[in-house]
Amino acid sequence: MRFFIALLCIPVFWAVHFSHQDLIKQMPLKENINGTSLFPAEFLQLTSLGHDAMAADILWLQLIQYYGAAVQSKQPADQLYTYFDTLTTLSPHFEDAYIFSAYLMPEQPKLVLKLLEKGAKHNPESAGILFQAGFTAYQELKDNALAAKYFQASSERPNAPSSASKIAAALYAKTDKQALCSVSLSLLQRAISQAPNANSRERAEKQFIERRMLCDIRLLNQEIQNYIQQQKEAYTPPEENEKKAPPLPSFAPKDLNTLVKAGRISQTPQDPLKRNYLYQEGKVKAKALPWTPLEAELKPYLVP
Amino acid sequence: MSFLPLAMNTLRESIRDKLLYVILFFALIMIGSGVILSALSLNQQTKIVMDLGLSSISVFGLIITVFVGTSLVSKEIDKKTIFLLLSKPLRRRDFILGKFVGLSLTLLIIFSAMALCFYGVLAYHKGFDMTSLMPLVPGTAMTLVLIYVEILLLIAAAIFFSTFATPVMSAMFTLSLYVIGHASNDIIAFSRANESGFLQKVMELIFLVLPDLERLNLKNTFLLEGALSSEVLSASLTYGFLYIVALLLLSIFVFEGKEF
Repeated sequence: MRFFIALLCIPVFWAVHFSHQDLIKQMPLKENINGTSLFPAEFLQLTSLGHDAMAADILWLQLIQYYGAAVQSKQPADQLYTYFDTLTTLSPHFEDAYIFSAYLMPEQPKLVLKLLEKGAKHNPESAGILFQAGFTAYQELKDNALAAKYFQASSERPNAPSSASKIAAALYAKTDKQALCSVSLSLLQRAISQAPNANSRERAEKQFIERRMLCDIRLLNQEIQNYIQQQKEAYTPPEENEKKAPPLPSFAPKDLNTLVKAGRISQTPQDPLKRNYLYQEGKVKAKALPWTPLEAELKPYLVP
Repeated sequence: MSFLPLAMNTLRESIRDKLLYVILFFALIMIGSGVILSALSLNQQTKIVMDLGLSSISVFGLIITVFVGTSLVSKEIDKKTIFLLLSKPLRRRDFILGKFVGLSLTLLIIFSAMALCFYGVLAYHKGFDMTSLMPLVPGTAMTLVLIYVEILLLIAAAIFFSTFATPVMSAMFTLSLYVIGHASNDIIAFSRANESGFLQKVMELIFLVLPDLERLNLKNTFLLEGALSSEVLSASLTYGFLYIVALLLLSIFVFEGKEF
């Protein structure tokens, strides 16, 4: 009897399979990959009963499949942020998930930064998350000041990439904000002290000298512009009854000492190689360096 | 130590239960499936293998506790073997302790098998390279110890419920205890969100009376945050063991007053 029942099972299971296939034909599987909805993280936290990390792992596997399906079907992967947000809420120390979000959602940099900041909050020792935030702010948002802030924060974490402080320094210098020059220089000083070998140290020292020159030149040029503006405002034109008005005088200072006398700077600065800055036609320049400059922005200011 | 013969008998009886092997078989499959799933995980292989393995051990430990633990006392009553046992020079408290120790030993054997399988899978995943495996051992070992303490607590709870309820009800109560125990943080969150002072007090009371199993669930802390302070660890273990003692005392209290 048992033998016949076992034998009967084969056609029955076969029939079940065919009826299932028939059902799929009549009601095709959902092709819209964004059609499925995720449960809120709070609900999953409550129902995972302490297995939050496991739930996050399952979401991670789902996320990979979801993204793969979106790429293959050329549909937008609208739920990526929800996936990342949910799985990082379930497993807040899942560092790679935060970083990975930047690779999968480059067109949504603000959301990526939101995730990365969440990651930095939960993982205060992680340099990688802040480094990625800096990269996203620089690459996608083109916000040098914000990127520099993230790179600087990354450089202050243990096991930070050695380039973090140098990148932050370079980005601070690019922000055109004079106040950030000192931050940039202090970061380069840290890069010098943390240099892993003599070559890196020498390169960082050169970068420091060039950055310092660039900061000085920008400061001096800014003060020259302020001086010119002040002179223009103080200028009184001659009487109108004269037949021909004299040409406007040059408001630019005669030399850099004029700025000192006007109280705009305390003394005429020297470059880090103890050489005077050059003053030509209202612009400050510097003597050429004994090496090929590393800072592209310094090159226009160098006089051979 | 007069409960030892009964404990050994419970161990023998439980070990003979075929259901145990079916559950163990599925547990081992689940732990092993970490290797297959990790292949899809994009650079998170170790995390997947560890999370899946430890969660499987915890969940299957719970299943065995519920299936075996809740019927331990009632089976003796249903089969009338309790009359035979209690007519011997065996105190009622020894009966409870014997059942608890016996099932704890059974779970220890099953648990050891699952832990061995887990470390086997982890070693296989690491290509049997001991230098990359050894850093994972302390964290996972401490997690396993805490999971076992949690299971002991659930065994004590299952025995307590089975002293006055039917096996089905005991299973439901034990499962509910597991759910509420792991929702302890949410109970407090709900309590704070509630405007009614009375309900707040009730929820706080529930939080304080029922076991806070999240104190024994330090998987994430060990595996992702690294080392945990010895104070927190010893406090968690002390809490777990004290709760077990409290449940066993309650079980003995109820069982002493039970009339057959």
